[in-house]
Amino acid sequence: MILMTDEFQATLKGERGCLRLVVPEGPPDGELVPLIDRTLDDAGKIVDGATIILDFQGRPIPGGVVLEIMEKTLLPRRLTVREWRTFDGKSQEMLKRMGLRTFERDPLEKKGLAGFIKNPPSPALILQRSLRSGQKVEHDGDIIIIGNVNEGAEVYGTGSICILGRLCGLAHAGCSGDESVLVVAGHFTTNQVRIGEKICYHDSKAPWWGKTVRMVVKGDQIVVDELAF
Amino acid sequence: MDTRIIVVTSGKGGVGKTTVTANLSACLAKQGYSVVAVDADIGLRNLDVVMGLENRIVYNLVDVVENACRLQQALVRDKRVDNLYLLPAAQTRTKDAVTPDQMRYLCNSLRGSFDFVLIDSPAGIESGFRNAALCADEALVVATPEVSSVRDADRIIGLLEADGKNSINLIVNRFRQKMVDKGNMLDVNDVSEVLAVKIIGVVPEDDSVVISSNKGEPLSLGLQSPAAKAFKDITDRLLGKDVPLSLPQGEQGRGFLAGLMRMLRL
Repeated sequence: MILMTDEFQATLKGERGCLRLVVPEGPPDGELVPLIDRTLDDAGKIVDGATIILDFQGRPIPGGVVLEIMEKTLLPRRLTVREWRTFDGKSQEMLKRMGLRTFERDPLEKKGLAGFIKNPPSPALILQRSLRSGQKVEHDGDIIIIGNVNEGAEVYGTGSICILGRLCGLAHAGCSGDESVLVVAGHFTTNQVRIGEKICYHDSKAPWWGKTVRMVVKGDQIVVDELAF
Repeated sequence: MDTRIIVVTSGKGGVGKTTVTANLSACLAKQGYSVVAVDADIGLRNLDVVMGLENRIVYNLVDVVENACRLQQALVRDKRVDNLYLLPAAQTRTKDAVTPDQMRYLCNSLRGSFDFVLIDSPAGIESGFRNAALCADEALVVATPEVSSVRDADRIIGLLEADGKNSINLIVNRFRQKMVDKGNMLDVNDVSEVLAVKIIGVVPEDDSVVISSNKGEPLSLGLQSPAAKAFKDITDRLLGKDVPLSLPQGEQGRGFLAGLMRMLRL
């Protein structure tokens, strides 16, 4: 289980036989290299010569910063980068143009079979704070958020997503294609929810607006149940 | 007293950052504190106009950081109130004209010379905002009770928190109780619930704000109006005074008839 109380530290996690370095979205570009350097230093010898995934979440990464990261942090430690991961479209394009490998879902993963065939399920991510606009969490597994997901915030999980507070932003459960997962929201006030490849739209006229709900895929659509305990 | 560096920011443009900066600066200066209002909106300077000091600018912030002049030469003193200064932005340059190191140097130069440094941040979340917020000890986030403004304020608060700013207060600007009553505007409680930071003041929509901006005379320097009262209350709260937060009545709460109707609860 990964417990995240301080979201804005760069963190190293294990993912599919390599290390994933999650870089926070907050710091300015100029502070990225020292932050990554410090994190790798703290990790000690386990990172030397390792294969890593560099995960910049939703932040844009200028080409100059990419080169600086390579020169000052990766090459001295003989690190191999399996993937440069960002959800910023322009940065993805730029990384591809530079000939670097970016985040691509493999076909097996898209069908939701990857977890069953290749790897055991990852531990749940428990986030003990609210997500503000522009902040994004993505996790290979279930996600529990003890807080709100504000409008403009995004949560992507390959498993189920449970938000104890208000859901105003975007939740995408089963984002690798698994549609057997569910989304639970303590206070539902969002316009869109995604499960697997399905998307459903809502507005404030929906009878479950503002209620505690559970959403699952049944047949070809996402079904919303109001939860009463 | 240690210098308090406060950034006034919002994310969204047009919500009243400059008006808030000008009025709070004037209000603090009126109470005897030495204040400098810094216009960090390089390329789109407005604070000088709102403060009525545009005719007296010789040097600007960029000249200071580029060592084209001394800091004291660039500071414009307001003649209407003692101890109020403006450090204007450059109009002919862009946000890239100032680096984080230069901004740090500027703030360090101002620290110790004034009681308050209020930095008027540009809209957006790019380098201009980052420079403005870089050295601030505190942040005042300005939002209007609109969904788009609240969302942008939420984004800004997230970035400020990520930069380790712990003292973040919210000013709800251009509040209209009448529209809230009709269900056409977000209530202050709605805004507070989403943003989850302390509300330090609610400024009503007030024609006098537009008039004072056009005249270049901050409300706090003279005019009596609901907005001027709100700015005075915010200043007092900034100074640590216990002023209860009351919702301004704005345009509907003034006049004999309105008072009579309130008395009769109509």
